[in-house]
Amino acid sequence: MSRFVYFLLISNMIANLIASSPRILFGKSEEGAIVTMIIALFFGVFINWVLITFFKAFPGKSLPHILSLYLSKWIAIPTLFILGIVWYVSGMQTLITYIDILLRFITPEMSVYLIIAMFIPVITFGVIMQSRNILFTLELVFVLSFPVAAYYVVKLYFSEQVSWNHVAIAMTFIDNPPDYTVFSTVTYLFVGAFDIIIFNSLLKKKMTFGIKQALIIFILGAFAIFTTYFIPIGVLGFDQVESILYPWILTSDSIRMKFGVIERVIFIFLLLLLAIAFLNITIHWHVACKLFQSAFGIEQLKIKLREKISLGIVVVVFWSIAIYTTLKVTEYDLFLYSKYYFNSIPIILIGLMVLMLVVNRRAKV
Amino acid sequence: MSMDETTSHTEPPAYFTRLAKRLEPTSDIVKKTLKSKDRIVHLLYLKSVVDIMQLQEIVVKPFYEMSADQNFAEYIFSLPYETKMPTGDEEVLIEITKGNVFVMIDKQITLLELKVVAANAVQEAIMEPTIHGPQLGLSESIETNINLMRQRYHKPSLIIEPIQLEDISNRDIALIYDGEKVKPHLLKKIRARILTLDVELVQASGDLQYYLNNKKYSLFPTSLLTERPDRILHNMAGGKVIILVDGSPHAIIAPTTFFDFMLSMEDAYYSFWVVTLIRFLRYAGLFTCIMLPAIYVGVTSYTPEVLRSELALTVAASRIGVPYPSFIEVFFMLIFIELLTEASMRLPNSISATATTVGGLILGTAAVEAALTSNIMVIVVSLVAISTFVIPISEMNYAVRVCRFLLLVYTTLFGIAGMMLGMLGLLLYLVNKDSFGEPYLRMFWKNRREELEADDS
Amino acid sequence: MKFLSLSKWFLMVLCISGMLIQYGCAFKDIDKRLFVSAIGIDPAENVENGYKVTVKVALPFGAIKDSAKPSFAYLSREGHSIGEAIRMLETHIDKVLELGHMKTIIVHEKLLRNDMQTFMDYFIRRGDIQLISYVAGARPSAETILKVEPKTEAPASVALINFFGATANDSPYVVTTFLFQLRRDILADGINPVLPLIETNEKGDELIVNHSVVVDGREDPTVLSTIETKYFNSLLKNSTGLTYLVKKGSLELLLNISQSKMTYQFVSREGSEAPRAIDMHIVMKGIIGESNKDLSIAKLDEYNRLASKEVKQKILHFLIKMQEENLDPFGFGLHYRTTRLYTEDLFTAWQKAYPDIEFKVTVEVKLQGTGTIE
Repeated sequence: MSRFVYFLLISNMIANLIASSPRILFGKSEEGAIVTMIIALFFGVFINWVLITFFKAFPGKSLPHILSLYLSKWIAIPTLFILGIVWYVSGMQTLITYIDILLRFITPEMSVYLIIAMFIPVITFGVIMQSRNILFTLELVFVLSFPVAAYYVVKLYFSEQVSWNHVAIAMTFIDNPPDYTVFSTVTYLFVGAFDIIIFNSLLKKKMTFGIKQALIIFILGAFAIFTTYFIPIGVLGFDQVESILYPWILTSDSIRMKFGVIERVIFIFLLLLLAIAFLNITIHWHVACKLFQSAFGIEQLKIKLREKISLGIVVVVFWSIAIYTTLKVTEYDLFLYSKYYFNSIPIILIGLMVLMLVVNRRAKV
Repeated sequence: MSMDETTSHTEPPAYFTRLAKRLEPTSDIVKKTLKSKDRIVHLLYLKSVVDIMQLQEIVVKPFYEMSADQNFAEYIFSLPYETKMPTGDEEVLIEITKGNVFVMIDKQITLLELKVVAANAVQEAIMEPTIHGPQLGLSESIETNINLMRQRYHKPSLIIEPIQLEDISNRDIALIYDGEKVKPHLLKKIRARILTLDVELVQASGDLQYYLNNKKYSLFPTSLLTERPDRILHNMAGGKVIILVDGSPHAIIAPTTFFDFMLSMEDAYYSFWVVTLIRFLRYAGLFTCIMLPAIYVGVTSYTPEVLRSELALTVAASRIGVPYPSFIEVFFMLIFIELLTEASMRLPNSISATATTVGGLILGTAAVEAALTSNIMVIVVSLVAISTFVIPISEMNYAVRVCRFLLLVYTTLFGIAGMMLGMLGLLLYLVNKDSFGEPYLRMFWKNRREELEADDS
Repeated sequence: MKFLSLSKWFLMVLCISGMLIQYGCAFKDIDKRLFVSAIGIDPAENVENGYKVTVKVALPFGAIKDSAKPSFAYLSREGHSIGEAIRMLETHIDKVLELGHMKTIIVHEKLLRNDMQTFMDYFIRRGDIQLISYVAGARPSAETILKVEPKTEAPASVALINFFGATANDSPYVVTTFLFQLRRDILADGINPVLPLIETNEKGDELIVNHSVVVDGREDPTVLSTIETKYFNSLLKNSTGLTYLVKKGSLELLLNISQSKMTYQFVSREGSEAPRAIDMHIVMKGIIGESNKDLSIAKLDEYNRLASKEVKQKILHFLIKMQEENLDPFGFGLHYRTTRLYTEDLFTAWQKAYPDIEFKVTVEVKLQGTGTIE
């Protein structure tokens, strides 16, 4: 498996820390979160297995390309369109959450328009970049932030501020029956690798998905789930943790670097997450952009100018919707809509996998 | 080549006169007719670029010492100095201006390369000095430079490919590469780029490099200018193409990646841990000099919570009485330090030390005393100035200095989150850039070659 | 290409115009801000059920190195809620009141009740207050404690901060409680938060921190004495640098304990889930620091036995006192919840069982030597 697939997977897992998913999990902490997380972990590895196995048969081809080869237009175009919306919303959700966080924790006095304006040029540039370069950027940001992130994680786990008693209490709820919302939220952690429906056109080497790869994804996923769920509980306590809006931010604010250049870890965390969130938005929107372009058949347009215009239209539409939503949505709405969104994810994934199966059958004939 | 017109023995043939006419009225032109018995030889050259002693030894002396039954023409044509005879008057004239001697015996003509170059001394490496590496750089003569290359790279696959540029100076340009290692499509691309250049005058490698960039508003250099033969060979062995321009002591290396600019040749001469430390310092310096002014503004004016309480109070205390907002203070001090750097660079060595002292020490202290700027700001600016010089290649140095200002603007507008996004934007810009089709910034985990091939296949 | 550059220009113009409209609302230079370094909360005198908020503002001035004394400004205001009082305080000064560096919250002894949740809520809800700020109780009042400027206080630093968090003062008599910890413990079932109690001497030029308060719902919070605070710290937080005085006849030994470790488990009543006893095992390592008689290194075992017995008694006394008060600063209840799978009446069972629970304490003191002399 190409290392970029792992990067995509990890970036999605990290970006989820700030989104609504921890809060959804905590809301269900007494209603079966633990069991469901374990089930979803296996399901997450499974969907990645399906994904990679499918794309293994088509090295160097993106999903729109494959669909256009093996399926009729009537199925391919709605599929691409729906996927485009899913990816766009995913990016938008991260964007809105982060803007909200900036407003609350870093620059409370700043106007929301200014914060949006800060994102527009950089993200736009990222979205219209070549796919190859987006992957390179992802890798570079990972390399640059790895030392800080590793330090942060170690600090979290070995910090005396974490009360493992509370973690243990959370675990005593293991015998509750599973819950669908938790399942879909945790599944969402694993969809990072699905970005290859577009990026596969760059991954020309044949991928393999054996025990080793499955194990890596399993360990990564288990670690991500454990950290996402249990560390905030350890720091903030099990009781009433669900009432906290941004558990991860309060968690990092509770960690202290006694002798660091900066005493408050929260700023390191926020800036690090800004980088990851930014990448996540860029990648998701880039994928969405490509999906829409192929759904509307813009790729067939030979004239360069038209391609640029279509790109421009997509970007303008993206931003108009995003700005409108950012200004309208309240924190509660965001939480609610995120929940709906997460709930729809497993269904869409299963639909996609069925489609993949069909395509695979046809390709073999 | 032979001439159609029949001419009398003594008079120079019409072709010869025609060439000579076109060179006039320059004063250094020499038209010589050597005559002995029935032998007549016409010479046409510019005495300022021709080695007169050699001409005397090789052509004039044998002409008179040779006995009548020996064939002087045969002798001349067998000389190793011969240059390939171009077609067309214009080209022949260009060859003459380069230092070739035009020889005409009867109806046969030839060019003898007897040029003399005044500036062929190998110069000391000034811009990229190292402690342990070679101390000498290139010379201003292309022949000497090629000679330097050949001396250090004994391989038949080292190919020197001359290119004639269509500008008014008709300067010699040579592509040098290792034929086995260079990628053919890359070579083709670079060759095409040079040949399609539409420029008036190329003076040196520097402006050729600028023209090769092909983009008017490009901040980061996509090809590298160096004066060090070891750097040239290091890159040539890596499959890159070297472009030499006659009269310039710098070579252009293309294509380049961002990391090439962060490499000092010194790195090759030290042990692993020392190099690791130095590299770490260099990248730390890079980040410091880009981000520090921005951090100062972002932290002091938007989020002072980032600082430790004691530091926040110290910074606040040092800013007491400073009438300007932090970003004006930073701009003011940065421009001041840029001026200082520029001034000390252009001044002769003996004066520049004084300028730096006066500017840096006295003005800095006075500015703090006068409450025009804060102590902390002076520290920040000095740190920035020092860390800028850690970047080994001066073009990258300049680019980074510009970036610093851009990032500062972004931070001034949006705070520390803006700084982070600005850095990411910079990263995006660099990654999105390419140098002759090769990605400019990316990670190379495995062998560089393998990575690139993985993309192509 | 042309379109792209056009769109780039468009974006640029958009950004710049946006910035021109919005610019300046968040930009505040550091010297235009006042850093609150500590905040004190007292019951209001004039407002019913209100609070009196006092802030200690650290003033930056000239060259910090040259100034001998730190300079602080104190602002007070009463209000129905803390937020309101702070909002009003902002009208008393010419600069922005910056709470991001507020590191100590001092609460009047009388206010340390369970309803402190309501005003702790304000500190948590505000995004800019550090969750790693310290919370402490104050006697006689938060305002007096805030206004104490000890002689050892250095410029640009606040003595109140140095007491806690083991950056400077590392004494085993000082309990450190962070804001997030307080919230966690207040909200959690089965543990009572313990706060340090700051006092001052009669002259009002010294800060004394060696008591602590166990916060509970009752009107008068239980104050732990100096000795109890020490036991609490050594058992739960493994503090170092402890001393224990052991008396046996005419022999008096002062033990310097460098390591202490407490482990315990619940012993269930037969046939039911409810716990009957807590089996506690404490290991302490250290050396003899002071003695009124000559000691022999060969007799270390004997001293060990002696010390174990003494320490056991004292700890048992402390535990039983807490039990009688129905307080649980060690979080036995919390730990109990982790040992069983969750059932709805798990915690009520514990609450019923706790007052009658039996403590079985074994203490093992391992003296490593007699110091530098015999």
